[in-house]
Parts: sequence; structure tokens; C-alpha cells
Amino acid sequence: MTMTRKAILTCLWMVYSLSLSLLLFPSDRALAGSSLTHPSPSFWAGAYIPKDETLRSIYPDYERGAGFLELSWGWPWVFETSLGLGGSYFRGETFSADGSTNTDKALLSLGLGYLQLCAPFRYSQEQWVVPYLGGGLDLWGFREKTEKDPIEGYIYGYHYLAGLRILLDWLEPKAAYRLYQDQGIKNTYLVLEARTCTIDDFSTRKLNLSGTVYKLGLLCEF
Amino acid sequence: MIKKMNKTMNKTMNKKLITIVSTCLIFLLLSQVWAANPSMYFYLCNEPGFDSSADIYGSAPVIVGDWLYLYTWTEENKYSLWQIKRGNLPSEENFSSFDRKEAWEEKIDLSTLGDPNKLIITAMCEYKDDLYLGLKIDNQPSLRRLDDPNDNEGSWAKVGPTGLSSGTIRALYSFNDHLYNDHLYMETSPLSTGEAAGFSLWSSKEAEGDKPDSQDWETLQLKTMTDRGNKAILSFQPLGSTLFLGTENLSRGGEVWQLKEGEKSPSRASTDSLIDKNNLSIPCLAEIENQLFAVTQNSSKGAQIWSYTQKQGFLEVEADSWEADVKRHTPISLQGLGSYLFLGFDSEFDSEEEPLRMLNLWDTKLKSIPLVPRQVKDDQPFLDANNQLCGLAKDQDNGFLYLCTQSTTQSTTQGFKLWKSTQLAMITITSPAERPWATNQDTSISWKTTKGGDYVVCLTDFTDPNHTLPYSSRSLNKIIIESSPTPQSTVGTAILVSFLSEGEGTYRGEIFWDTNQAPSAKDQYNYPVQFAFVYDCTPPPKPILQSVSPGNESLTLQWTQAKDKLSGIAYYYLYYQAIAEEEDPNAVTFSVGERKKISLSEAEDGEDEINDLTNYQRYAVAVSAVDAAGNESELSDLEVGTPEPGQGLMDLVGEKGNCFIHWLWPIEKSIIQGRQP
Repeated sequence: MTMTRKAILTCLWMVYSLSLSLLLFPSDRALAGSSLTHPSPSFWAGAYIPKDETLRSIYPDYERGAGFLELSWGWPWVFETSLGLGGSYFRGETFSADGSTNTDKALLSLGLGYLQLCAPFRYSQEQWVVPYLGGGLDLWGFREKTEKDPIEGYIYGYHYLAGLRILLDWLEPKAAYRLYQDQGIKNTYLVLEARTCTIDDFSTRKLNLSGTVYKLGLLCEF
Repeated sequence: MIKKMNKTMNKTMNKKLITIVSTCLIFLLLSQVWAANPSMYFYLCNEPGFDSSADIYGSAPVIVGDWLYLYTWTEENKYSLWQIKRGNLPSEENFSSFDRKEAWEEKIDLSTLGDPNKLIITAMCEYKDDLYLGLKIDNQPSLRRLDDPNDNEGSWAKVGPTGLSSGTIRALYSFNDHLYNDHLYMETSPLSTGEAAGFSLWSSKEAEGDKPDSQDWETLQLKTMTDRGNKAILSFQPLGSTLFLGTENLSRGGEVWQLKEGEKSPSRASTDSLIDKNNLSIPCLAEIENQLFAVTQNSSKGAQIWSYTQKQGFLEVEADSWEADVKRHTPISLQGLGSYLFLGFDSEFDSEEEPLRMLNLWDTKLKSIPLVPRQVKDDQPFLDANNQLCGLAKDQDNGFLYLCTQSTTQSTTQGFKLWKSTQLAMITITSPAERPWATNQDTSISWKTTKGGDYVVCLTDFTDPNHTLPYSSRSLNKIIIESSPTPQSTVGTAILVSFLSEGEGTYRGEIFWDTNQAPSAKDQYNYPVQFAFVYDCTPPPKPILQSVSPGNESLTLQWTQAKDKLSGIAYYYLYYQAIAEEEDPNAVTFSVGERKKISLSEAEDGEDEINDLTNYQRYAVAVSAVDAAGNESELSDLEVGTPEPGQGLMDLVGEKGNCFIHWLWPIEKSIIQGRQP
């Protein structure tokens, strides 16, 4: 599938989701849109699980942790635009030319950058649970170090995601109010997200870092 | 007539038989008595109570170079400091003519330090060939160094820390280039009244000219020690680079703490096994053969001896002949001398039996030593109810033990006495360095000792590999060592070839001074030192080489560990030889130059790698095992391996990389455009 085709399909899907939500929920309960009126940071920890069999065979501990930092703001009104950075690394063992195991070690480091658009399904300001869907473009840097000289480069792709934001303010309303007074944090959310990444330069590269990322984070809405 | 003659003859025969048998029995009994009670002989070194016989109390002696020092005091607390050249002390050759008055130098004049009536000596020690005294002068603590031992007018340098303004210097101890000054505040008289409770530990710092002065002190952090209720440090003992401290603790029981080199605060070393609230204090610590021993004073059980290992902590040493009699077991001193531990303890004065007792700890079996004076005819009894053991000291280099007694009542015949033991043969095995050791050929053992004369090296036990054969033979090898002017250089070597007649197995033997040359039949204490070795001529079975994995310029071998029943595997050899492509690896002959030695600890998993090989070159490899006796096994089956760098993900997918932004994380090398083949 070409890049253009994929991009068009992604946009169509987002429009479809928005339409569906408007259909499902009458106008008096129309989408309140994004509550992120100011850029709001979120901090994530997650697990990146690659799909590629070759990668998994070299790096058997492939379920590695990853860290992310994201900045999101509501733009345009219904959607949220997010800019994120993250990273992870894998340790593994290499193979000899004949396919047998080799005792040389390998280290694969990944650095992620992404730009994404999300649609939160929020109908009121104090909604406790806010589901959201989204998608975006990724640029991943990689560096693999073995006994030979390291190979490094970048690769890009796209992802789509589904997530859930849980408002934490109701647990401790007084603390939440104090946080708002002192720091200007309107709401604090616990966020769970799952995303599917296709990172293979839109099928033009043999190197395939596609996989699934499960994230848990904290979103501070200013 | 013939019948009568026969009867008479029979009667005579019977009488003779009875006489012979009873004589044998008596000798047997006497030999058992003599063998069961080996004694330790002591020479009296001074006139009891010194000059005026008023010096009733005294300290354990301290040896500084050629001099021996001790201090005494009267019931009126008048202190005197005495010195004598070690060479002038009594010995076996001169004890009967030794003049106990004349032999001592004039006592050192203490009047330069202050009013003798207000002067108290509280501690004394040797540090870097100087004598240091802890004093109380006009109720002020003071630390002094004797600058010139040949000048008995007493030239003293004031060296105590400037912060030392009150309290009492309770103990001085030199260890590892530091002079430790245990500064104890005491609440009660007779030394002082009204002082606050607490104690501190000072340490001397590096000083110019290596002699500390008042600017070169620092206090150690004792908060963790005092927080646990410890009231005083009663004993010191270095072990390796750690100083162990024994404390008094009336609430939790005495504890042992350790101060490691370079640390400023001690940490607790004693384990719960020592926690018995009746173990009020640990007055004595000692070390023999790199093992620490402690003595506790238990209010219900009396004295107890503990041995310490880092793994197990403190374990009580059980004594077969120990009597749980509190009155008889007040520990006074514990001294490690050679491979022997001496515990001196005192008993209550109402005991009619021998009040002074000493125990010799050997092979963890406590053996009591009867103390025998080498006295001249008119000497007063060595031991009686008025004589109290007040200290033990040792001359490790020359093999002498010093014993001090003091009188509990003033009398012209009592007073402080210093006793010096006969020279003990302190044997230290010098080679082999590792013991027990294993050998597959003739072997020898060397030692140094403090005493010349005849030494016996004998075999005491043998165990065959299967533990089946009864031990049958006993080989004796008598070695004669000539006496030497410097006992430290007295050495002996024995070749143990005659021991190996039993064949392969574990041998145990001992070395001891031949008591047949002792001046007295009763002086049977020979202080044997034991050793053990394994005689093993059988090579171990060959290991099984399981796999060879390539790496970058290396090969990793994995093998099944071999087992050697007798002496155990000591190390492995990994053999490797480059071979051509077509060459048959089984035709390879390895050379000793192309092998790598792997110790047992390095090859715990049965895996190791050979480095610095050439990539893409075929190598034949094999493994052999070597036991502790030096027997090498056959080579394992050969395997072939070819080192090569491993291929990562990028190699396998054919990724060459592209421009990358470096500032995302630090990268030392410049941008790499693909890999070189």
C-alpha cells in the first residue's frame, strides 16, 4: 500500500469516527472537544513489542520498557495535536553467517519522535473517563552496536492508537484544587494507551521496526 | 623332695612375675601421669614487690625494642615505672644465679612529669619502637612518649591531643600505623570523681617524622556503638587490616565491633549468638593463625571462649574439661602465641586449690596447663591464695609468655611478680604456602621456629581415597635444628618421602620440639603444629567438550566439569591450534604454548573463551583438566571452530544506515555509512 493511500485512509477513518460519535450522541450532548486549551505535558512508561521475527530472534528480551514524553494541546478545537519523544533499547546476541549462534553481543537503541492527532470523546468538562482515538506520523532513530562498527540511521512510519483517560481529581478534590491554585493544573489524568506502529519507511525498507506499544502515563492539563 | 622343690620354685617364679608386672604397671601409671600433665615452667624475674616490697600491684609488661617495661603501684597509689633489658631476664642457663634486684635498671624517674603523689599511670603501650604512657597528672589526662630509653631520668614528650582535657586514658593500643587511645570518662573513684559518663576513641594521624604530637589526633565516630548501650571498650585485636574491639554492655551484653582500614566509624561484628545479657563484657580478644577469638565474662556461666569467622560469626568453643564454676573463671587475659591460645583467669580467694589457672587452646580442645615455677630452693610458693593473676603478655618473636601476679595483701613476701616462661618453640610453617596442599611426587615442608634443638616431624593419620583401609604405619622423621643467635632465622625443612608408603590418600602430620631434650622430665609441652597434604598420582577423567561457539576473534568453549575424587580439580587447559581448511583436526598435535589456563573459580559454569584469534581461521580446540596435585587428564574429544564477528539485525536485513542526528544521544564516532565487509 502506498504512502498516499495510507494517509488518505487514515484521514478518512478519523472523519468517520467523528461522524459516528456525532451520530451516536445527540447534539445536546455534543462533543465538548479537547479540554487542552494550553499545551499540556504527559509522561509515559510503556513497553514496545516489535513484530519482526528477525528482530525478535536476535533480541529475545524484546518486551522492553520504553519511556515517552509528550506535549499535547487542543488544536483544532475538536482534536488534539501531540508532539512526543521516546526511547528504548534491546540487548541480544548475534548470529554467525551459517545461522548458528555467535557469542558477540548486540545492542539496539531506539529514539522515537512522533506527531499525532487525537480525537477525545469528551462530552462534559468533568467527564471522568475520556476515551480517544488517534493516529500520527513517526520518525525513529536507531543504532545497533555489535563487535563491528555501529550502524545507525532513521526510519519513518505511522501509527494509530486508542486510549483512555481517567480523571484523577475526584479522588482528592482538595488536592486537585490546591494543584490548580498553585500550579495552574486544571485536571490530572491517568492515561492508558495502545498503539500500533508501522515503521518501515512505508514499506520501502527491509528494516522493519513495526510493533505494538502499550503505554501508561500521567497527563497534566493546564 | 622333688615336689617340695617344685613348689618352692613355683613360689619364687610367681613372686618374680608379680614384681615385674607391678613395676610395669607403676611405670605405665607414671608415664600416663607425666603425659597427662605437661607443665609450663616460669622464672621469677623480680624481687616480689620490687624495692620496698610495697609495690603490690602491677601491669602486664610491654616490650619496646631491647627493653621490657612495666609499672607498679603501692596501696597508697604511688606509681613506679621499671625497665630491664630483655637479655638480662632470667633463662634456663642463669635462673639459679639471676639477681632479681640488680638485674633491673633503676626505675625511670617520673618526677619530671609532676608531683609523684598526684601521678597515676593508666595505660602503656609500644608504638613504632617508642614507649607511650597514659597518665593522670593532677587529675588531668596526659599522653607522654619516652624519648630516650637509655636516659632513666625520664625525658618525656607531651603528645596527647589538645582536646583531651578531662577523663582518663583507659587504654592505648597501636595498630596499623595508628595509635588508638581509648579515652574513657569514668564516674567513680579511685581515679577521679564527678566526671561525666561516656567514652571516646582517638586515632593518631600521619605525623611528620612518624611520631604523633598534640596536633595529630582525630576522634572516631562511636555514636552507633554508644546508641546500643556500650559503656567502654575493653579489648583490642587486629586481624588483617581490621581492628576488632570488645566492649562492655550491661544492657545487651558485651559486643564485638570492627573498624576497617580507612573507616572512621566501627560497625558491629558480633552476632546474636553472643547476645546473652549475662555476657556482660568482652575483656579479651586474641588472634592465632588468622582467626579471632573472644572471651566473654558471663555472670552465670563464667568465662566463655568464642571463635569468629566472617561467614558464621561467633561460635562458642566447647571445652571438655570446662567446669561451670563462676568463682574459678574470671578471665584476665587472652594471648595468642604461635598457634596456641593462652587464657589466664583467676578465681576467688577462698579457693584452696590452685588460684591461678591457664588454659591452652589447641585444636579447639581446651587443655589445662599446670604452672610450675623454676624456683631456687628458698623461693616462696609460686601460687597461693593471696596471689592473683593480673596479666599476660607475649614475646611473639622469641617465644616467651609473661605472667604477672599481684598480691591481695601487703606482705614482705608478696607483692607484684613478673614471671617469664621457658622458651616456647613457636613453629610457623613457611612452605608450602597453601595448606593443605596436594602433590603427586615427593614433597617437603619448611618452617621457622623460635627455638633451636631437635624437632620431630611425624605422620599421625592417613585416609585412603575410599576411606576403607585402616591406618597402619607411623613414620617418624627427626630433624635437628641448630640453635641460632637470632631465633627468627631458625628454620627447618623435612622431606616427606618416607611418609608416602601408604600410597594415595590424605596424610596428616605434625611438627614439634623433641621433648627428650627438655631440661626437666616434666617439661613435656611441645606445642605441635599440624599439617595435612594429599598424595595423588592419578590424573582426573577427561572433561567432555560440549560446544564451541564463535565470536569476534574468539571462540567460546563449553564443557562438562570433571571430578577428581582425591585432590580435586584445580584448573583447566583450553588447547587451540590453527588448522588449514582441508586438514583433519584429529591429526592435530597441540603444543603447550597454545593453551590457556583457566582456574576453577573462573570456570565455574564450565565455559570460557579463547581470545586474540584470527577471524575466519579454522581452529581445533580441546580441553583437559588438572587436579590440585598437578596430574593432567587426557584431552577431551577435539572440536573445530571458526571465529567470526556476529551479525546483528542490520546485517541480516541488509541495512546500511543513513544520516543520523547525533545530539539525540552521545556518539563517539563520526557518521558511519554502512559496514565494512
